[in-house]
Amino acid sequence: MPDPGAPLKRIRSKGGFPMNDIHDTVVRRDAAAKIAGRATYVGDLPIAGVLHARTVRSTIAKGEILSIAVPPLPQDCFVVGAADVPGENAVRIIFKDMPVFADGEVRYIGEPILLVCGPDRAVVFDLAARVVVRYREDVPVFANVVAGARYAYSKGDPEKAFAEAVRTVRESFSTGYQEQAYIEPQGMVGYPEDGGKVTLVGSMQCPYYVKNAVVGVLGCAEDRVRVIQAETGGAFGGKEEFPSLTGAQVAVAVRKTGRPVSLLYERTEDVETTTKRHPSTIELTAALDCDDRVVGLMATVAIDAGAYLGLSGVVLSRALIAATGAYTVPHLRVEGTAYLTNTVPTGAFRGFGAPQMFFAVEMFMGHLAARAGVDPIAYRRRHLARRGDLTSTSGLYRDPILVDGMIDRVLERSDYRRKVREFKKGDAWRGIGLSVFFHGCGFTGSGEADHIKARVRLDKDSAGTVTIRIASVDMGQGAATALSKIVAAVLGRPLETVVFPHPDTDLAPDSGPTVASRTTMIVGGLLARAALRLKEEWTEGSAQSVEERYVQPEGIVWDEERFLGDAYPAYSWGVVAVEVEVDRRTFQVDLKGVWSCYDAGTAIDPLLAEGQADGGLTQGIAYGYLERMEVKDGRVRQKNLTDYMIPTAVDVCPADTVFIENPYAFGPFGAKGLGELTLVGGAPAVAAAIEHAIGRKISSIPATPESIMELIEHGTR
Amino acid sequence: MARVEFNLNHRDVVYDGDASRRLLDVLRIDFGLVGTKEGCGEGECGACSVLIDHALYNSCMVPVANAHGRRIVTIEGFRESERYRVIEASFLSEGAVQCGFCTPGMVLAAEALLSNDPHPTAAAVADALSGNLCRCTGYRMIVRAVLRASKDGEGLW
Amino acid sequence: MNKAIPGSRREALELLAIGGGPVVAGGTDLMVKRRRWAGVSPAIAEGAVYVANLSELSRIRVDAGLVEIGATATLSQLLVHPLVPALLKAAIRVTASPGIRNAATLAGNLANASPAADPALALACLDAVVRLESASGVRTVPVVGFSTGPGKTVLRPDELITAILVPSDDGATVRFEKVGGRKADAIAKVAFAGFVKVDDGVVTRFSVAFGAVGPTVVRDAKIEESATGLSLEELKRQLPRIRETYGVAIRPIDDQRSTADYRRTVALNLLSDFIGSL
Repeated sequence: MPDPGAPLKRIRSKGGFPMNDIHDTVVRRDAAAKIAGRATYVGDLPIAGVLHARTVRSTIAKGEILSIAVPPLPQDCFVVGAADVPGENAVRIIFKDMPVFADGEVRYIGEPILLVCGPDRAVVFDLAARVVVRYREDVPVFANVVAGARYAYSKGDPEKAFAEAVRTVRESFSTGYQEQAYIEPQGMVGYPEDGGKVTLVGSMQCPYYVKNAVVGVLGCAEDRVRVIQAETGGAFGGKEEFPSLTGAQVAVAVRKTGRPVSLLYERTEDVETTTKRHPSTIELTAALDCDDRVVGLMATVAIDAGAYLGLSGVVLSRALIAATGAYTVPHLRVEGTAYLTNTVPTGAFRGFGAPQMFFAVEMFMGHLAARAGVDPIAYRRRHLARRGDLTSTSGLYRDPILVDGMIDRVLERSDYRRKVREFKKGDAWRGIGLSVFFHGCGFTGSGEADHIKARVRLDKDSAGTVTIRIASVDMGQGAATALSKIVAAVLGRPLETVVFPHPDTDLAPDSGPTVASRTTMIVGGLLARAALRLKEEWTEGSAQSVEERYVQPEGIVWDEERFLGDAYPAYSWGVVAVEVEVDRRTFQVDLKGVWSCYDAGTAIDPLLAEGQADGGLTQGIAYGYLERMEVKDGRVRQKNLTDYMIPTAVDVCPADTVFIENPYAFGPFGAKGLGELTLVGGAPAVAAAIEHAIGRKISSIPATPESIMELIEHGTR
Repeated sequence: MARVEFNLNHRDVVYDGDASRRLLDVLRIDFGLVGTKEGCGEGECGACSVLIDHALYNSCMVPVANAHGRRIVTIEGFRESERYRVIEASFLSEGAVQCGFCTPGMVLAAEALLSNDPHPTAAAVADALSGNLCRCTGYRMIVRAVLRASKDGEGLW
Repeated sequence: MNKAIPGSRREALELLAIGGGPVVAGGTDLMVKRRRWAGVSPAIAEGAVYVANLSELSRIRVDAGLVEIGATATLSQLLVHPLVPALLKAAIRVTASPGIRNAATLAGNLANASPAADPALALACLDAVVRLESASGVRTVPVVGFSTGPGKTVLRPDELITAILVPSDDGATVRFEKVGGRKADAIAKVAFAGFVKVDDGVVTRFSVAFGAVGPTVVRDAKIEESATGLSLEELKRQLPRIRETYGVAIRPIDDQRSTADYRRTVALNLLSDFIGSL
């Protein structure tokens, strides 16, 4: 039996069908149903006797609820609120955090107070509109003054480094909100079962997060809550923790009414009231030596958590860990705060703190290079992290880092050097910019070992069909296909004999949430080990089950208190170049081309990987120049897809994407994390390109035409 | 109240009811055709796309009264055709599907385009899809799939 | 007769005369504005009159030198029709999305009276005229002045827009530019429509209209008149004065889409670019 802690060898499946090599692209397993309109999303479920639920929300940013006047309720209509919560009126995200229903106080415009439920939607709509809530309004806090979480760490001797610096340079950067804008809005449905059990079906990333939250809210035994993931129409982190809230609300409503309840969000309420990317302000100060090398760095990070902390502490952690970007800086002091404000709570979004930090670091490096009179690429290379270096948190880069070669590749494919020369001539505002970045794969530090403790199971029936039992979901990224490939390849069996049903907490163990770019690397790794064991113990004609538990790779040690050690077991790397032209009359940005190179260990399926690259890059670039959300006086100003603009098919440009091989010993077939990496580099690359085009420094994103116009008139060269 | 008579997925049907109801709701609720999705309810995302007399419409903005005398095809009606099979094959081979929520709309947008322009350029494809939002793919692989369908389906459009 | 869905123009007018309404054409604005909730009918009155399928009102023809565009002709139909003026097509091309253009009409665009409307801007620049009919008669109203403010028009409750009459733009240099938040499917932050006719090097007609920079379309009759009779070189020399005058005439605002400053700067840049290109 293979040693669970030992690195996986590269395994080739037996020749012939369905694939000679796991890397051969296969037809994605769920695609045919989706193309035909046969895939069933939560809003498509036909439910007899369902009660439709509509949320009544706070119209003020901060205050106390004085009274709630509910109109007379017709037969079969119900109002569900804080008083109906059987257990605790608190949704556990990391700790017990936001209430299921506001009780007495409200902290943001849009905060849920009640559900109005009934069999007829027109009646429910009318009833909800007639609920009258009276408040005593308080003065809301919108500035970053109330700290919700704070972390700090150091490396080396920053005091000494700054004291001895030849020169210090300080700059401030800011990033805005970003809305996930999955095309399928949030939705959750609940059914009553015998014995007070509640089954929840919804659009989600983490069935066990929902289950655990609901158990606390219902105050019931674990086996009284069942959560099943429905086909999920995009998530990007927006359905990581938020479904715990809607799940809790629906569960309470099901308990109260004894009926099935359906809560399907409208787009406007989704945009206005669900979690989105944290806005940030980041101040970086560099201590430079006589060669203009960054020998010390101080970083102060502020992120806006909104009204409740939720995952903000973890987002902050990831941002702080990325404080030195793809570079090695010997002396550091890094500190950050997540502030509570009376605005919509912010939360998980692909990248999870890294996009904010990498924007700041990459722009800073570009500006430092310019100050030093050095080519920005050469300047970056001087500082690039190398194998054997200490990470920002004094862990170790154990694995090969191939970024130098990746930079060469992107420079070549984008024709970078020639363009830099050429764009100097002529009247047109053309620019090309490059970014270098990484993403730490998996949960920070000891999260996997201490908190998640992932378990996976393979169930084989007597006919030889193997069912994957995990909590990880396919939300579009292709997990169902990639993980099935891994299991089939290790077993040496046809892909069709491996089945991946929608995760169901009654049937599958908790393999952890579908987040943090851990699904292929960690969960896939566990499935590969399980498959190896199943293969060795395989008995033809009988049903068997094999379970595997997570074991932390040797030597990965993290000190949560001091923020010290190996923050991640593995790192994926990326380089992106973006070319733009800026219209001199309208200041609009036209994307001309994108070239990128990624190291995610290995791509389990090239087509799935390309899909992740294309989608992530499009989101990341748009974060840099297009997507804009303002919250003014606690109110989201761009609250539908008309005003919050994401790219259309006409906005994107040709893209050239390359994945290089750098197999990771502890990942299945060498794979590391990929889901978030491809978003991280987009914004700094497009911002650098715009800087190049307009000859002004950018320190804030999104770099909209309005802000570009301001920079042309008043900005620094 | 209105009596609206139209052809839905190759069958003549009659609707008696509120003339202002969204065609999207009539399709999903009255006819159980849930392949057409609601992504925004304001004509922005195109997930509710249907074909009316071969042209692409956002059914969330069409009052059912406007369906009177028209031929409406949803993804359920289109998926039995040979053209669909070519589009399906190319979407599969080009990796054009991730979460799938925009996909039925994209398929119908492709059909509407190819019916009008059997050999479109990439720019024309992007233009034809400009009212169908996708958040997962970045569009390039969808555009490639439509171009491939136009090539592989030579003679069908 | 199917009360909601009249079979002819006459039937529609009769319905309006007895208190029916509103008139619903493609529905692309109204169905969104009146939306209540998924699965619930929009808040459109029971007496609404649905005219989208009235083929009688969708014809396009030339009459007395004017292109007569039927009220229910869709934007997509106009895009491919040979008689439709180039400036109007240019505006339609950048309006909304393919799915919306297949349903939307000029009549609806005018009746909705959004300050950011694109086809309405081109119609204003071309000095188009709207034909309004009721059971008691017919009248025509210039497009400039049809809208009196955001969402407000001179349309009476018993009136039906039956046609828009558009002078041809043959022989003129025209340009339509829309600046939206992204390259497609966007509402204008600022839009520009320009029309110049030159005979023997002399300007015989000059018309410039700005959209989304005021409660209604912005045109300035004085500037347009003063430009007539000038040579192109003289017109270009007058650019600073022309810019300054329009700079005062336009009244852009800050909103969720853009800023007043940006709109003003870009509007005048588009104007300069147009005149500079002549």
